[in-house]
Amino acid sequence: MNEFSVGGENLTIIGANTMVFINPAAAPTVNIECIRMWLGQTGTATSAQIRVQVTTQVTAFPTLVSATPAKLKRASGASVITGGTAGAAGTSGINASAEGGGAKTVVWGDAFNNLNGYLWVATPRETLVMPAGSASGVNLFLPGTPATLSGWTAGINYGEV
Amino acid sequence: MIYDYMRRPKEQTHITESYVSTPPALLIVDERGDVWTLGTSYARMDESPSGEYAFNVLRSGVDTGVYASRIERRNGRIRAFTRQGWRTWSGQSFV
Repeated sequence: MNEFSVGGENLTIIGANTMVFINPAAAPTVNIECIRMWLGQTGTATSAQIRVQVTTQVTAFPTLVSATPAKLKRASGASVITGGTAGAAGTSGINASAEGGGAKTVVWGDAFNNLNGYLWVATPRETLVMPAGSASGVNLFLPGTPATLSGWTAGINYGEV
Repeated sequence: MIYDYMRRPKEQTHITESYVSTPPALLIVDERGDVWTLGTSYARMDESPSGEYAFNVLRSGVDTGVYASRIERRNGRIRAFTRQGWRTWSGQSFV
């Protein structure tokens, strides 16, 4: 399985709280299976609880900073996902500047301590699969704006299945 | 792949409290300032604790040679849950 990573480091949250957004390509092509997601920060040493949600979102999509998926396996070809700023099908981006008006559907919500960060790794059979042509993207999202906006790390690793 | 958060920071800002486990925490910082994380290289299922994926254990971004499904800090010790059960960091290796 080809695996890729989309994310950013030392981000400053700039007005919207979508940290990572990946929208599967139009069908027929491979599906996107999320296998790892993470959030962390180094902007403050003051402990605080932060809410996180993994959602799907339909159009209108967020406005993002383009992020090209990085290969996790050196021999892999390029991903079907490319970097993009509009959240369109087949693109990925980070650190939204606008959320977009599309409805979000919460897949799960959680909370974490900002000093410890948040890591989700799928246990077998509990991966999150976004089918090709689903017309919605997966969104790693902070429902509340953190007190400290700088120094954020966020990412999603996925496989193409 | 080694991400920035897996590396030792320039300045240590805190020590992770006891009983914190990764996952769901992203990282654990010990008294020495080392950062403990799960890497992205995963073990075959027959080398993993039953029912869980196991990943390489990184100490400040350096592979320790052990695959575990979780890392925990308890009573000032770092320990990892492996196929063989809990193994504790001795300062040089997991035993």
